[in-house]
Amino acid sequence: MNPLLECLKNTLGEKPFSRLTGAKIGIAGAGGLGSNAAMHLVRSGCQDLTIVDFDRIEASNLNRQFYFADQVGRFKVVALAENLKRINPDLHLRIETEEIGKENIEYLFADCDLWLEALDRAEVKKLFVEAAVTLGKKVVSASGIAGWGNSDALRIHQINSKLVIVGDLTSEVAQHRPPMSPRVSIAAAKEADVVLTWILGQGD
Amino acid sequence: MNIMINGEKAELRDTISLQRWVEEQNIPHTTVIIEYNGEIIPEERWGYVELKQGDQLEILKFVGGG
Repeated sequence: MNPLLECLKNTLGEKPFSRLTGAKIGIAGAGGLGSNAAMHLVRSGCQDLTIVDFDRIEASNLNRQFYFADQVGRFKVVALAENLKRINPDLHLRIETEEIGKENIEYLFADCDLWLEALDRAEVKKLFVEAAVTLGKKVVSASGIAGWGNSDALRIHQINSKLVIVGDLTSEVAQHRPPMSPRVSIAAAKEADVVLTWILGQGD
Repeated sequence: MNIMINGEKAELRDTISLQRWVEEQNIPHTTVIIEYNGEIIPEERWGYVELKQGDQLEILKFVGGG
């Protein structure tokens, strides 16, 4: 067992630890939300991740996404797999470089129990959440994360027992309101925390 | 008949499907999910839901950014 997992097992205890390592998590998108949420989940002991994104890293992503300057031009999921394995070398990762759409969501994520929506476009967010509802999966999504300031507005909206939306629900990415690292990272961390809570139960 | 939309009372003239109501209200259907009496109804099922007295709708609109 590698040092990260050894420490987590000692900190959390055997049962919670094995729930974390056994959870099958699907992450749709490896941009600001997905790359950072994956980082938090891996640091927390999650071992079994499916991550899907068709995009390559651009210089403009480095202001908020979990990538480095020497990775520009590479597929996000490939670079992310490398970065995550530097945290936990024994990860079980399934990565796909497909564009997510109505026709492939089920095929890509049916094996995952917990879904994390980290997509850019509102239309695809909707499709992903509706697919999760149809398949009876738990899904955490994000909406309204752009800009800076008023970060307490990035709230957890518990829609029902299987659907949570994180964000202020209104701050859309725009010319004058770009996505910036602090708010995007907060939303990503909250999404990851919702997943942890599903796996471990509500903390104290 | 009266229904509740995002916590506010609204009046409907006739029985109408959720699909038709969304169209009439010019709701941007490609970016919203709809909770109908506590249950999220995927868009492909909107046509099968007939709105009736006392129904509660929550319209949740997604905005871009990830």
